[in-house]
Amino acid sequence: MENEIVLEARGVKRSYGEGESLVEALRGVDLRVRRGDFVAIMGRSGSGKSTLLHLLGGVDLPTEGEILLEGKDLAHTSDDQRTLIRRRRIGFIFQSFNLLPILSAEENVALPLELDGVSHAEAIRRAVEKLELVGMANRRTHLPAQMSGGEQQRVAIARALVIEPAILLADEPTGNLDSANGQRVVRILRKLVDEQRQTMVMVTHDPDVAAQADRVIHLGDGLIEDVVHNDSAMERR
Amino acid sequence: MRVLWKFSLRHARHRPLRSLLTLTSIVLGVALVVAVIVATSTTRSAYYELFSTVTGKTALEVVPRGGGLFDAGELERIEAVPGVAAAAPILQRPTILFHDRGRVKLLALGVDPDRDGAIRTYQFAEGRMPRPREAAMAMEMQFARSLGLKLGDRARILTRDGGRELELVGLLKVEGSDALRLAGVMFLPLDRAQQFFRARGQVESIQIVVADHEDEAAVIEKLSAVLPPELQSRRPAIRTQIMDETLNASQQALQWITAFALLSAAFIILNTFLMSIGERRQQLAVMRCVGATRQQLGRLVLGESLVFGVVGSLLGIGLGLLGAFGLGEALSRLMQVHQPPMKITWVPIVSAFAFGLLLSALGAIVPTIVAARLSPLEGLAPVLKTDVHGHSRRTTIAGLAMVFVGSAVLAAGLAAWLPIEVGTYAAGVIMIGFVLLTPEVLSFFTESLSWLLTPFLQIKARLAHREILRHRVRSSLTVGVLFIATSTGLGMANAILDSTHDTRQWYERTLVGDFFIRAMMPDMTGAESANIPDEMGEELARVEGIERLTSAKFLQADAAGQQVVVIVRDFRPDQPITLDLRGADPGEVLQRLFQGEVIVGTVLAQRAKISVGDEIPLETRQGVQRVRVAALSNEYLVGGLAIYMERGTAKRLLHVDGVDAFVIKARPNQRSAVEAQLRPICEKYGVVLHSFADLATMIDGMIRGIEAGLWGTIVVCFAVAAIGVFNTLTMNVLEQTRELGMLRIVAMTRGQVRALVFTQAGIIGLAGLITGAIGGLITAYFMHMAMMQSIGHPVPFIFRPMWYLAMIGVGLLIVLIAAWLPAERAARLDLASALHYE
Repeated sequence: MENEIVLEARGVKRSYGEGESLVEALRGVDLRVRRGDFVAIMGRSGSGKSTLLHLLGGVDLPTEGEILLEGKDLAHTSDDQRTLIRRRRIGFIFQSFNLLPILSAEENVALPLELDGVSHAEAIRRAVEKLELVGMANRRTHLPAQMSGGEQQRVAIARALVIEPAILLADEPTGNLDSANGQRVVRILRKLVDEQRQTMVMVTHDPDVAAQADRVIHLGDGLIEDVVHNDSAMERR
Repeated sequence: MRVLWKFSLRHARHRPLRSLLTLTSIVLGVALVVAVIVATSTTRSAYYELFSTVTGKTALEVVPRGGGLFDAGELERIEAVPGVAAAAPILQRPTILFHDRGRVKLLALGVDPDRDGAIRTYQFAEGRMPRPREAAMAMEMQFARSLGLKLGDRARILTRDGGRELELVGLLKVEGSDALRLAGVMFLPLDRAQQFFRARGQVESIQIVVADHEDEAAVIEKLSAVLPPELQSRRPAIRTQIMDETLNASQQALQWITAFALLSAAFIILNTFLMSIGERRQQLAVMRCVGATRQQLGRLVLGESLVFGVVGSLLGIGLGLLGAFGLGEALSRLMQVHQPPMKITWVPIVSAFAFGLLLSALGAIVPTIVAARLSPLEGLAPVLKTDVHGHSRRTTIAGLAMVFVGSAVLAAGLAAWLPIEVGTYAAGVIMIGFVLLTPEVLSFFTESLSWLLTPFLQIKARLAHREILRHRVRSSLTVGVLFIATSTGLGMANAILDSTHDTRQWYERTLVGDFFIRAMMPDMTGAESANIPDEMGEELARVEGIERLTSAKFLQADAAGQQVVVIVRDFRPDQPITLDLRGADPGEVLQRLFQGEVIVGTVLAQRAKISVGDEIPLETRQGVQRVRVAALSNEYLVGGLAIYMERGTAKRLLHVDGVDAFVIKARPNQRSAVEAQLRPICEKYGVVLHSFADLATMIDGMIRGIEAGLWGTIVVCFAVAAIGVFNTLTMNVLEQTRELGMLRIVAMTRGQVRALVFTQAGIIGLAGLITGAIGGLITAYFMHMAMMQSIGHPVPFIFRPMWYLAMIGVGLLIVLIAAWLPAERAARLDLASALHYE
């Protein structure tokens, strides 16, 4: 179980445009993420890290290659099927939080469940559980406009967790936060991995944040340039 | 500043559909203004110009009191009066001219060729004026060409003497708008006219040119001293009141539609510009940060609106002129007149242009103020507080005030304390007031609808409801436009359907018989009619199988200060009255008719403030005679300004003779045989034979035409509202791009996103449609009350609940169709770029 492969990318390529305007964002990436892994992806601007994250989450489709989530090839499923997979198996955390401003904290967290047909009452109950996990239960009825950036990101984490995902994908989760809040968020993510065996892939440009991961993949010019294992992080488990 | 104009132009190009929608609103509003003004003024001026053709340079005229004819020998006495520079007799009659291409109704002017030149100026392109005793005519050159006639051709006209052939000896040449005046007129020698129309030695009026520097009032006094008591001298009277009444009803309906279109256009422009400001809020804030003043930003927005105004007005004027042709055609068919060339002057063009600019500027005032007041800090924030919390107390107070004041003015109009025309403006003010109140009640409506829809749509209903309230002003304006469209459309529809229902009931009661013979088609004025040859009556009397043959004569008269049509009928003691009497015993009324009393149309009764048993003053040869009113009747012809009179009474009071129409009832089972005998007689005299079934079909056709126009109006109403919904949803989707991207990534399928957008449309739609339906019901009720003044009797108000429900359903369907494109765009968002959308 511990060595189970949750997410795998095989020979993934992604290019845009054609002819003279062809841009190869990814030029052949192979990646395996096992259950309980905490993987960070780093790279300069334009290295393809966000593109890779979008492909891993089924938000975008590769030009070539396969993306397997729990054995299912995301690249060869329909849009609706990918949406359902995202809804039930992938938790997304965005740099800009992306909470709905018109919903309260608990309603934002409950949203994926309600869209999946769970009753409102049950969805709220489960949402509150996750808000407690991230320390935001006391702000459950507040709107995003009434919260700080750090608080909003914690609510966004709770939303990602509420579906009990197979994997969390985080795109620069601390990018819009000050250092204190950023560290707090990263501690929460680390705790999830350590205590709940949550599998996580995180894109970041911050080496301090990347240092929390078990493995750091360095992307450059659409290819994996280096993979660094963070023994100290793994030892902390 | 060039850079600011570039900013505006690029934004307009970036949002081509929204720019097009804004432009379309202005184009439609301006086009309607132009079409209505040009078409109605052309139709109206066709009558007025006809009148001025007859009057020429006339300053005064001598006419018999109560109308009719008088001895032409009075001319010598009149010419001898000091101050009279010239005098010319005239005899005018409507007639039918038969030509190769068919038949046309026109006015025959019998003039004295030797004297008439002093009254009217003639310029001949070809030929000359007909000489005395010559069986010849002259007419305007282009009019003759339109009939396929050239100099030397012969054509037949219908007279009391039967069909008479005339040679075309003169083609008049006129410049510019004068051609308008002479379309539909022919000139023939007076003595021939007197012969053809059985008026030997008689004339209708003697027209007088007053000598220079002479006082007209003084000349009138001198004339009164020499004229016999049955004649009077006066300034020429404009005899167009009946036409005016008929056209006014149509014009009012058109004005109502135009007012609605302009109101909706103003709100759509307001909404569109608010959206445009909202979308560019952060850009405008950045411009403020780098140095743009409030005035510069304000001028930018106002300048954009004026550009739309100029372009929209120019396009609208073009479209309006095209529309004027179609509308003019419809009005001329309604009025049964020859439609002259469109009279296009600079006045409606300039007015419409100014209107378009004003409309655009009015719609942009609030957005201009919003843009000018934007602070850089506020503008750079992700969400404006006002977007969430919405409306101001001042708006609510203004809305309440407008509803209150508008209602008071409307009530005053209905009570006849103010002219009923102010009702249109008052209704517009009330509607604006309701729109201003919409933000106050929006959350109640959307929450209620969301609650109703939640069992079916779950989270999507709640999300849709919240999103609608997030942009309260925009949503309120959209609901407001829907409200105006629905209440105007349904209100007018209800009123018109009830009216046409009443009209059908009227003609079912009044058109009793089998056949109807007349020289020309009955028109809405019913006034002047070509005579039927006298000997035709004798021929008809010999037709076998006729159970009853009665005749009718129509003539204009003056009664109680109104121009009316006196309808002279052969009432029989043994036959029931076939009129739509108001609560009177027909038998008793019939007896009173033979005693010299009259039946008065309800509109005339209302205007003259008379009822059964009162006396109505009627201008006759013997001066003003007061005749007693035996009953009132609902009358849809001649604008309700009718007096029914028994033939003996008419002969005595008004010296009436001749027949304009015959009504024939066949014996049972002999209808076909009677028709077979009537047809050749009618063909011989060139008159029109209609079965009453044909007539009913014709009237039904006119009514169906009106109802078709009505459905067209409703479609236009809903289409305009749909534009507003489309605009709003497009903007909502745009602003929610990142959120929609997130929803798609996290949980929502494309279908669920579509459903979310459709749900927003559905809630907005139902909020506007349901309130609009209620508003329509109230509008219809008030329109019924207003109609009382126009048609003189109350039209039963019929509530059709299923019809209202069906219209709400149709409206909702149109709204959902309008939502299709925004929904599809939302569903097809590119997820990766949506996340980074600013």
